[in-house]
Amino acid sequence: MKLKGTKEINKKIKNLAQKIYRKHKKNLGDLCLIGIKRRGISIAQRLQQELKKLTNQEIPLGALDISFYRDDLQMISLSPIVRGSEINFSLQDKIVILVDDVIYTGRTVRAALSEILDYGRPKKVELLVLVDRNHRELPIQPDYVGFKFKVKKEDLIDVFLKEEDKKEGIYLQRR
Amino acid sequence: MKHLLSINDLSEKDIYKIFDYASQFEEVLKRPIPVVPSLRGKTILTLFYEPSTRTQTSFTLAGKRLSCDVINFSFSTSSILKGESLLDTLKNILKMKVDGIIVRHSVAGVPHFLAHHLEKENIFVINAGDGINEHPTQALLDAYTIYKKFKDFNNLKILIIGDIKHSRVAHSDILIFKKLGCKVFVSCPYSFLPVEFEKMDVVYLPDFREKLSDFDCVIALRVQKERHNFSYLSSIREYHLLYGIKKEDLNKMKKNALLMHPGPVNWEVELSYEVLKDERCVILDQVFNGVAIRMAIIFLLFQEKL
Amino acid sequence: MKIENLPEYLLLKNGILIDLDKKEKREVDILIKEGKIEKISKGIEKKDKFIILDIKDCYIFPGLIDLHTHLRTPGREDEETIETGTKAAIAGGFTKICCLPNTEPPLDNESLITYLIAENKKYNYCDLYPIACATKRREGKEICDYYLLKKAGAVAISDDGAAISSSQVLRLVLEYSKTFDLPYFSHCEDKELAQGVINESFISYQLGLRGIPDISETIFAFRDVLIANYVKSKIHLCHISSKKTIQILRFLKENNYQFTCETAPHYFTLTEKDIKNYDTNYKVNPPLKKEEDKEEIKKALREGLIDAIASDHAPHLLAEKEQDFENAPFGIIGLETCFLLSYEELVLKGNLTIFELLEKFITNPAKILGIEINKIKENNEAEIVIFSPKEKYIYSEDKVVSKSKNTPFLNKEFSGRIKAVINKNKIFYF
Repeated sequence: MKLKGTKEINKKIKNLAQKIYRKHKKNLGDLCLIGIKRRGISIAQRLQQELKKLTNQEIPLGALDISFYRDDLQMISLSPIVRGSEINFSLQDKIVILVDDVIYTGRTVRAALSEILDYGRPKKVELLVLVDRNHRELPIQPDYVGFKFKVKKEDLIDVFLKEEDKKEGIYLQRR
Repeated sequence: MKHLLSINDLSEKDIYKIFDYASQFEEVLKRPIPVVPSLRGKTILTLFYEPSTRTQTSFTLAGKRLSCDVINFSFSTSSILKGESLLDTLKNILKMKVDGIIVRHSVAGVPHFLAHHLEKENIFVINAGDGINEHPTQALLDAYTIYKKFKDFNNLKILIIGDIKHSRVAHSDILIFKKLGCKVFVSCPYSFLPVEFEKMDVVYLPDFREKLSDFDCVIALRVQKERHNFSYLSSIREYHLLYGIKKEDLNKMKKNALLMHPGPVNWEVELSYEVLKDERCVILDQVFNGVAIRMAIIFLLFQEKL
Repeated sequence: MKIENLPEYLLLKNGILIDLDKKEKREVDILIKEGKIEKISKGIEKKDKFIILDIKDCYIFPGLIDLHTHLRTPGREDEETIETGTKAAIAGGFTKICCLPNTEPPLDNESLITYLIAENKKYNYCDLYPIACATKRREGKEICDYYLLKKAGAVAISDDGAAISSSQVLRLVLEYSKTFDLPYFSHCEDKELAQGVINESFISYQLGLRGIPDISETIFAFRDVLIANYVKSKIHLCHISSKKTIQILRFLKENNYQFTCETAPHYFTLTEKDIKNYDTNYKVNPPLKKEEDKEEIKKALREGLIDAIASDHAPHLLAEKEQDFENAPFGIIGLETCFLLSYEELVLKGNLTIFELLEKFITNPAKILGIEINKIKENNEAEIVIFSPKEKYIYSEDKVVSKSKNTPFLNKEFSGRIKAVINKNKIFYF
């Protein structure tokens, strides 16, 4: 079942970019975006474009592959090819906006936080997700949320983006 | 792969997978905190019956960078000195609840023996050099070094100079380069050539100097004067004259060629000291790549355990 | 012996050219201009400026090659020097000689090779091809710098005087020498078995002297050829003396094993029976053997199994040879008598033709060393032996050119005599 389509997704991303801008107007120089895995990176890229329109500045963008920080090695063999992290700038004293497509148990974000802190000591880390589907297993909450959905634990929520997938949209699969 | 005992255990696909992971671990090694928590709580044991600071350190570092606990047994460790048999050592290993061992021994086949006995306990074995047989992790890091520069192995021309007959590095190198599709050449006196070497499908060059400009990569092997009390070399000076790489030789090599050596180098024997300055000499890069490759191997073997 | 520079024109008249290529004899005159062969033909017209040498009935052939000489330099110049040794060579018809490395110090370093070649150039009677040591100090343990030795002028390697007892060391020697295409000249002797001074037989018992079993040579000849063929390297066996060795070599040849070998004249002209009164001029290593060994050597020469004849010229001081048989050193001089003995025993007695004999002295040695012969051809340098086959020649003490006189053939009457040798723009008269 399709929950949201391209138009709604893009509108929401624009919206989130504005929220970031309003919050950090005075510290744009310290701002940076770091996308998690693959889809988080696509979303971060779109945010970067929106912020450029708003600020006329190119906010630095980094990519995070959290494979080596997962608390379960088993998951690594199941997930697709490890792409590797790529952060070409220093995180020292930066305001990092961590971007992911979906937050669920919170374990991915925990891994991402551990990894980011191994790159240096940012001033602040904020979390932005496109979809919050609840059922946390750790005390981690996003600072910016695109869509909030109330679903059962066993339900599947998939985010497809045209950069990675053939179609685009947020889909629900009830079990 | 359950163990890494020989290059023959690896498919081409396996090799490129190792390269892939190694390149990511390279990125990790360059971070301010060059550690990932992936193998936290896991334990590996390095069992070195032959002394080797470099390889043992490289493996230790690789394990630690993965947050693994590393225990080191080396030649000077009392139990090995006392002549404890392999099987007794094995039983000790089992009691200590290690997840994997890395072994170097002066006799070929020891890692295989251990692997056979540790299989049912789900403990992996990495061969860090067994006698004159193989040294697969060295071959992998050598191939990786070449891969980073050239990307495509097809028809790459590689020359190996030194004691082919007694070098486990040469053996593993030849196996991996042939597997990846390179053209392999060797140069050395006949005393260093294995019997029936034609079967290796490798070209023998008695004098490589005239053809130096053909090669994409030249690997100089470490030379040992004595082996089992017999002097294989007439003298250091003649070996260096005929088979050592000097500045004049570098001038004949391609501008984008690589000059490699597994280390430690006997300066003024296999290589003249001046070649270290040349940008084609990537000996120090090999050391760095070695840690990344070993991280990849350890990581992948842990994955396989599951 | 007289040595003179060649005149501008020298005309040799009425000689019999031994043509080794066509295997025929033909009467010719040879005109030599400024040391080079100007013309070869019958009836060359005399001109005023020609110096004429009438060599009627004499054979003309290229200078001989000796694969096995001991020049005792450096270290024992009291026994022989480059000057006296090369003169003795010329007196025997040899214009090219190989000298072995058991000198003091032994030839295991390239500077010694350079020295010998330079020293020889001072006299320049014949060409010197040094053979370097196979192992350092001939101790049979460590290989030498064959590349540098070859570069300095060594043509082969050998520990002659000694065998290499360790098979593993011999293997390394052969593998390393193969890298530089240097043949290994093998002295075949199982030293531990060969603790003696004479051939082990009823005669050694009768004389009360410790005997050397003949198999000591055979065992090592077999072993050495096997190892050389295993690593596919060049091997040449020195001074073959026994029937058993020949039998083994025959077997190896039939089975396609590669090797070359030489013998010395005393092994096909003398036997242990000739040793009388403990005369040390019959003390040689390998020792003189039985009649059947002598005959087998001749048979092997006829078959072509033995490729070359070499002198094994081994000068010793009178003082050293005039001792009891146990303590006297092994060896006899041979450069001057080598060809004469061979001609008499082999050609005159119908064992070989003159062409076959010269193959053993010229063609085959050249092949073994990988060197070019100066053939008797127009425009080549004149390197010629003039040999009178019918003349009788008594090898008396005053005739001996070598510095040492230790030979069992003193005062022997030979059928055949070397009249003159022309080499390096000089003429040597006897």
